Amino acid sequence: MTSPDMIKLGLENLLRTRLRTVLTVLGVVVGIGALTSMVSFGTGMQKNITEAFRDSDLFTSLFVTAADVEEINDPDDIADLMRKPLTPLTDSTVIAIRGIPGVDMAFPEISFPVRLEMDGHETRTTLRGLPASMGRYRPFKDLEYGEYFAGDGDRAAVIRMETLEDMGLSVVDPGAEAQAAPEDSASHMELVEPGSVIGGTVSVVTAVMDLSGSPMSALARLMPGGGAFREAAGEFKITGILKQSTNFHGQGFHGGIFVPIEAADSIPRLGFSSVWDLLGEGGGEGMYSSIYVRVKDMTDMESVRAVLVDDMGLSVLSISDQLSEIRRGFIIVDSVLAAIGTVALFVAALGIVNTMVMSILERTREIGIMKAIGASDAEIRTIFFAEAATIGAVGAVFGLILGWLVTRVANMVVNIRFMPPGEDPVNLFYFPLWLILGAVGFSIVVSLLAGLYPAGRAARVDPVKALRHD
Amino acid sequence: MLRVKGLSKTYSKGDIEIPALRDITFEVDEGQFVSIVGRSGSGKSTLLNLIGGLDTPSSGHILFREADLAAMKRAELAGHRRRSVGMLFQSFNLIGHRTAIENVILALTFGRFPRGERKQRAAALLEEVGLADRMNHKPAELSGGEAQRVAIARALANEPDLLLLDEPTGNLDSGTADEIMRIVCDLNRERGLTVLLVTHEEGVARTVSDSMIRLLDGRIVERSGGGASQ
Repeated sequence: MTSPDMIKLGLENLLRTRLRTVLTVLGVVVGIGALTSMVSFGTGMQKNITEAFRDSDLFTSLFVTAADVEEINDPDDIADLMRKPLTPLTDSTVIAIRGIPGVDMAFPEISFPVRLEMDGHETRTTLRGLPASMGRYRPFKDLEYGEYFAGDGDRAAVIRMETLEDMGLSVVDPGAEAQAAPEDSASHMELVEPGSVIGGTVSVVTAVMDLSGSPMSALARLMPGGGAFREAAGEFKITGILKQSTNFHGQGFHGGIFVPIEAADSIPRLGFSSVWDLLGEGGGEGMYSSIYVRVKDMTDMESVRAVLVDDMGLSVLSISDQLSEIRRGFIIVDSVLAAIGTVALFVAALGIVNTMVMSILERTREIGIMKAIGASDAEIRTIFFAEAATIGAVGAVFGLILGWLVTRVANMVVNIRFMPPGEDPVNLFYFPLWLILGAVGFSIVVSLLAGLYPAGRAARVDPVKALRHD
Repeated sequence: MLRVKGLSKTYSKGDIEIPALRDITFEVDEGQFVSIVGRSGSGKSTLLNLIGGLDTPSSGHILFREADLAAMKRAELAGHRRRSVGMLFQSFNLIGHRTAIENVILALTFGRFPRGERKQRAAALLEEVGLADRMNHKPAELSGGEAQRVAIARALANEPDLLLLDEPTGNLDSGTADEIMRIVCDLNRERGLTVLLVTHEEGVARTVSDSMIRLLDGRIVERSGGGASQ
């Protein structure tokens, strides 16, 4: 007897007792439906968060700082740290990092507080210098209005939407001015079209030391009354407006206004970013508090990190560190959700056992006849296993459909009821291929386990007694 | 072909041991028609079940073509039932929810008959027993004689060497019973099929068989005719 024969016999038996089969399969449908909808919620959350991270391009980003003193727990480590000369972050460091295989770009953090003035509006924010090549990546490749600057020395700027709002300017789409919300007029925001901001000039005002005729040391200049301050202003042409920042987009690039890195570096300002500047450890070079490093591919992360940490003695922070923590958390959440769903499937498995034991009692004589005409114990067992597996497989397919429908409805309710109007709808549930195949496989395995006892019992039926059975 | 030596079968019911067969010894030659007669409870059916591989003896040997059934594992006994013997029962033992042809096909299925040829062979067997126009009927829609003829077709499906008949006419009227016995006799004479018939009707046994064994309380008490020798 071949396997298709045994499966055919199993199916015929199931079809003969349709109502009982349907009810048993229904139990599995509910079990798999519960299991998959629960797990798909976990995977959906994981996917949403992972994609948000990925969209922010932070999987390819590293933030390099000097040695990390916070991680030192052992007094011996502190002694080591004291003995070892710390690597200051200088232009040489940036150049060395750019030479590491797998590094796409590396540039130092140049950011400082500024006052922005534009057509009688002003606000205080942080200016950040960025290379023109960052225009290839989020969030700068996808500006709300206008374009990212083209050259590292351009006197150009990309301004954040929130910064304009801080200046009392509300950017509205052309033609939308007339339908502006009443709150805007109530809050005294001036409505402007993007066209009137882009191409306009913003004045960047910084504080600088007035060192005229003062021979004081760098340290003395910090002392109260040790020097006089004055303001310096520079003009930048606005080329683009950056969209509202979401939770993840633009993380790592704090700042209200972004200008080309060389132009930023040339702005007169209080010229130190760390104590190293004041102590003169940089050998005359510019000193930086951190360096942004972008790798070509996610797979380069580990090798680049190893060079930075092990060979160069630097400290590295990347979002993938936090992500692995988050993933561990998700495994726990997924396991708990799967366990809840599995309880439903376990109840369904008891239904399978019950159905099959009933079936054996009813078919004892039939089993005896089959044995009398040559069926072996193994063949009888396989026929019952085929029945159990069929219940599991059919239940899994319809269970997946049920789970999918339930999650669609739940998702629709959440989007209608809880999402603010205008927001993109969220997809809380996700059915990856492994979940679909896993659910079918798991259902079949559970059904086979449930069929283990009944199939064994059927195989052990004594043909002589069975033939006497009514 | 078949040698039964010192065969005993004892059933246990709690602490009580009930002997069903005691020290049975006989031989059946190729192509013989042997009847086993005796009163109800004499052990006839037990003996047939042991030879058919449905049960295992407590002691002794059943040598079928020199292979000892007593030493066979369960899977080997299934092979013996599948290939070597065909069985007929008083109550026909057809599967009620399957049609006549499906019952025969089932035997061919267990007999590993090629899938594409099963239906054709089953139909040919049913035609042979005169049921060409009844093959799509279920057992409940057939007369006793027709049902037993389906059982004969099923028993012959895998071309057995030995036909084991356990009171095959017990549930039939005399006319139908004669008809069934005529088919069995034809199979024995024309095809040379070896037949072992268990019956309580001595008259029938005397008419159809080459030799006869009488059982009483699990023992052989009489042998008659040629063959079936000790």
